[in-house]
Amino acid sequence: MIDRRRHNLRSDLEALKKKAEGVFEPRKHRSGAPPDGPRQPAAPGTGVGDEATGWDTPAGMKKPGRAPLHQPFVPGRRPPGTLDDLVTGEEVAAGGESFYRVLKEAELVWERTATFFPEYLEALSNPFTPGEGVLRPLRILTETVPEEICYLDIETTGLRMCPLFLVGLMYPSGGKLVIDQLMARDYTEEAAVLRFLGGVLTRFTVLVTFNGLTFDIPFIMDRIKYSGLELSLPAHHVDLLTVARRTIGDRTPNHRLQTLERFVLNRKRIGDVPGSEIPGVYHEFVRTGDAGDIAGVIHHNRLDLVSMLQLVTLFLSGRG
Amino acid sequence: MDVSKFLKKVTAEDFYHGQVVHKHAIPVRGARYGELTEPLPAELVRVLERDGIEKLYVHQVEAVSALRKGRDVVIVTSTASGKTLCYNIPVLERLAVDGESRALYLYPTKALAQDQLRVLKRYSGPDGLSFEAGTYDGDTPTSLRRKLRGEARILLTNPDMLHSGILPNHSKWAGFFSRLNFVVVDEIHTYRGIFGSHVANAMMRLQRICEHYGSRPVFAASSATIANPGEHAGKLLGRKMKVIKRDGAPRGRKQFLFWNPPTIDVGDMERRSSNIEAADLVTRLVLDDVQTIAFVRARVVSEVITRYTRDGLGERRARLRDTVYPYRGGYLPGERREIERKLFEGELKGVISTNALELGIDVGALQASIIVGYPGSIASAWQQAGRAGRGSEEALIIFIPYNTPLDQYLARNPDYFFGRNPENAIIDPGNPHILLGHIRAAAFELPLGAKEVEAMGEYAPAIAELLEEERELNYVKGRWYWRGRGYPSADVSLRNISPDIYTIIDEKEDNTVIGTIDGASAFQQVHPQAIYLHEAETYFVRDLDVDKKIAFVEKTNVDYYTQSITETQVKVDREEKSIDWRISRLAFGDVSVTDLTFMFRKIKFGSRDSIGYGKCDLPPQVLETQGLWIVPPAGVLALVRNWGRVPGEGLLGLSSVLREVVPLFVMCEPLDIGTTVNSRSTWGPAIYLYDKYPGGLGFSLKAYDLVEEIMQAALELITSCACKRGCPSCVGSPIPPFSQLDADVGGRGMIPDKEAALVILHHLLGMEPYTPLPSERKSGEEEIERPKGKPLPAELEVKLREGLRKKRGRS
Repeated sequence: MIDRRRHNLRSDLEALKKKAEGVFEPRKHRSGAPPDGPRQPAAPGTGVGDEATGWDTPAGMKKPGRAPLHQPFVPGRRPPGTLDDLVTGEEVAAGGESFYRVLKEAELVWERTATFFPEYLEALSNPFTPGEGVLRPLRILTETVPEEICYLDIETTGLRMCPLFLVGLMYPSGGKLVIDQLMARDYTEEAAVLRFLGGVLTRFTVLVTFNGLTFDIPFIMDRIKYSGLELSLPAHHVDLLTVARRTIGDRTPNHRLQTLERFVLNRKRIGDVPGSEIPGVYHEFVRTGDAGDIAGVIHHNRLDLVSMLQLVTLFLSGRG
Repeated sequence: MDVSKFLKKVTAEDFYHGQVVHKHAIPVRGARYGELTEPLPAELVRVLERDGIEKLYVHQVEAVSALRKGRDVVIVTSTASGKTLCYNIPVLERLAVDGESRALYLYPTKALAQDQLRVLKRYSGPDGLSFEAGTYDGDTPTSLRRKLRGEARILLTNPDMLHSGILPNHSKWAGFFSRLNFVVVDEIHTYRGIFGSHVANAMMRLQRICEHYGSRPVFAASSATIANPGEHAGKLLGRKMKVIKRDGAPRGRKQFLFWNPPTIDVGDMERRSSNIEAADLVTRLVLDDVQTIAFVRARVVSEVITRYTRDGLGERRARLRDTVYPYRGGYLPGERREIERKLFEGELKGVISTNALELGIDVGALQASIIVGYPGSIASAWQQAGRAGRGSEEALIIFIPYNTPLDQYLARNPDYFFGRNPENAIIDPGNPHILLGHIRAAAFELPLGAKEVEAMGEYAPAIAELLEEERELNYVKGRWYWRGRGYPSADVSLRNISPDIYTIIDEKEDNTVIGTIDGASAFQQVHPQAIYLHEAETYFVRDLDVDKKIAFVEKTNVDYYTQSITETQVKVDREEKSIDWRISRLAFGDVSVTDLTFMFRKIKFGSRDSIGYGKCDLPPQVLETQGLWIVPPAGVLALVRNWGRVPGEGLLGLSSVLREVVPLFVMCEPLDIGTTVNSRSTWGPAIYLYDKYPGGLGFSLKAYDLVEEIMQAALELITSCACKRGCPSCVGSPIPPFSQLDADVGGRGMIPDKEAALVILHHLLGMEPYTPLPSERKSGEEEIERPKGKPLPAELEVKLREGLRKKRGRS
């Protein structure tokens, strides 16, 4: 009787899922190991691409000896390990809550910071375009101390009304560019991340995002309300998507960040975790604790932040 | 109105041939007022007085006092007894003293919510109370939505919008939920069966979200008369409810008549048209300036009777012609509002309505209510009757049966009608198929705690685990978190009706939309060449575009209307399992129930003559679901035949009984399941029982496991029924078939054979063979019993005969 019921419920569920797929994007076929099966060790030369930078660029950022592999991301193919092994952050605990923080100097994760960061600072203090016309929204950046400008990008488990699990921040600190990532290791840590975020943001005057106007900011505020918290945002917000739309127009097929990377910054990500896979990767990490794939997501988040900074440099130096 | 004067007049007219077969008086009841222990705020008293309310009835006092104390209540007093005030008073009081409080009002339809908004608006304004209120539904413009979320102190919506629009976006509503003090759930008798089980789950989700934002609103529910208001409200809302039923509203005397159309042929088989009788009565009432409502079962009938009534008025007093309107689903909202308004303001004298007006839309109280055809339940009949009666004024209620076996049974047995309790409302929020969708939705909204899941039903923990295995939930530190894709509430529809809505367009009038019709009815009513009736005018349907869901019509003056003929077939798609149940075969699996509208008849107005036929070329409508079927051995059928009875009729009777019995075992409403007899997929005729829900909801599966108990209960029901040859409580199905069709022109049919059903049941259950009463029917005819009464004393009889002879001699 119970089995029968379960059987019938499963078919109900299938029907619901099918229905959902009709409305939302179809579930991608996954060819990896079955979710419960033993994790396959990463085969040599498969999947991960250039983990260190994630770029396949003419700038030669790849580690020697590793061929770029234009293979799609396959869940469960990356070398397994714990979060501590793979991303080397630290637990932050306060008031009975905790979350995971990965605070690193950008140079450690992106070698060309040494070149790009000074260029960025130069563009801010001495912009080629004074921030008129389509670039007007960027003007606030040139009028603010760089230390008070914070880049922000979040990773979530869906498009709305669901938890976020990673807030990536990037800002100059002590003369260095740092990437500060706040991560909820499971759904219960989200509130701690948000609370901490609220504290961090008080240091800044300007927030820079890509599509933050319609996505990141409302999403965060929704979660703040959901968690019964309060948060005051920096006084100014620059959404690079709106700037890119106006400056680039139809010179690129669309204005997604990765498209701009390819056509404007002239580079391509390899082995990156596609955005549509991110929720699934996170949920699997929560279930199993294996950080193999989530490490890729953390890296993906860094690439997003870094690209934003580069776009600002290009726009302000008149090369965008 | 003066009922006896009206009756005196009517019964003296030529058209009267003893139609009144039963009279039942409902006595006067005086008003009973009460006093609140703590007075209401002055500004509220002022607006109430402005509305003519100076004293409260006892039930209002009882409800207000309980709600003030935070008790959850369900109010079940009569129609027009001021139920709305029972909750409006404490809500408005709270708004007046607490500048932040919020209230949520839920109504089963958008129209009701809008109607109630108008009521609330009367209390607000410059010299009234100051508060924002608004309806939030599919028609609310986006710009207004944001404003309502922030500012509405009273939000009026429906369970569907709550389920799919509000709950999944609760963080946008954080302010609203955290200040929510009252939840009003009106007309809870409509939340029954599958729909009710879904709504109960939505209410569970609502309460979780309130808890999350730190509020615990008080619930005020109201219901029309049902047998189990306290239990039903308790299950629906998950709270222990105080039942308020001591009705303090005054009631005038009500005269309830059974008005059977006279027979018109020698064999007494044919009767005058019930629709024409109804029109004749409405006409006479309107001429006497009595505001009247007639309730009909089918949309087409509301149009037909309106037409007849207007014709009748036109002949006598032409200016009254347009004071009678039809009212039904499928009219544009504006049109409906207009009719409601005119009715309320007394501009309309008569309205011929489907059960669309049964719900509490405030059209003011009417003076007479005419029930044309048994609406299918006692509760519904009383609700229609309740529309008549203005305060302590006398009112008239007339039931006009159709010439169908069921209606005629009621006409012959008024005690059955007046002695019977209204039906129970049944819901089963724990039905695993229904629960599955809501557990997904609930987990999406907020992580599910273990305790919460336990409270959702015996199968809830297993379902949560199943969802975890299926990677839709993750279990973290004692709670389940949603990890699936999409918006799970979008996968669940609360109502089991086809979401297709067809638009009806008048091509000759600049392609104006004149109305809408649901998908299931479209094929039967707006097929090509059909005559569609709208405000009693005839429209010819030129084309039905099934893909675009448009019916193209043009106004054409014809003297007929059309009735389509639909055939229902059940077929087995896949047998999942079967057993020998005693001597029968019992099987369960996937079945398809196919409705095919294949032809139509043209019916002349008035005479009801068939003046032609036409073919419909429409695709079949298929319900793919699950069902069980019982195939009795051939021997049983032979046994019935040996008694000179028709086995099919016995099986049909048995299937009707099952529709009554099974809901009690599987916790659903009779309308949630279908039963039929069919032999298409089996070697002999089989009784089918299926879930009326795509994919099935486990009703027939559960019935499969309980077949022995169910069959025993069926036998018990038939044998304990006091009727002689079958009645609506046993083998006769109380559910009127094809609610789109005019019973006035349909086939007569008969109440299925009770005796044959007993022969079959006894045999199937391995009991002593049953000896049926001798068959009293002439072939194809149903014998009508003569009315019983006292024999005349001999002397009196002689005197009467003498008197009669004298009268004859004079003429």
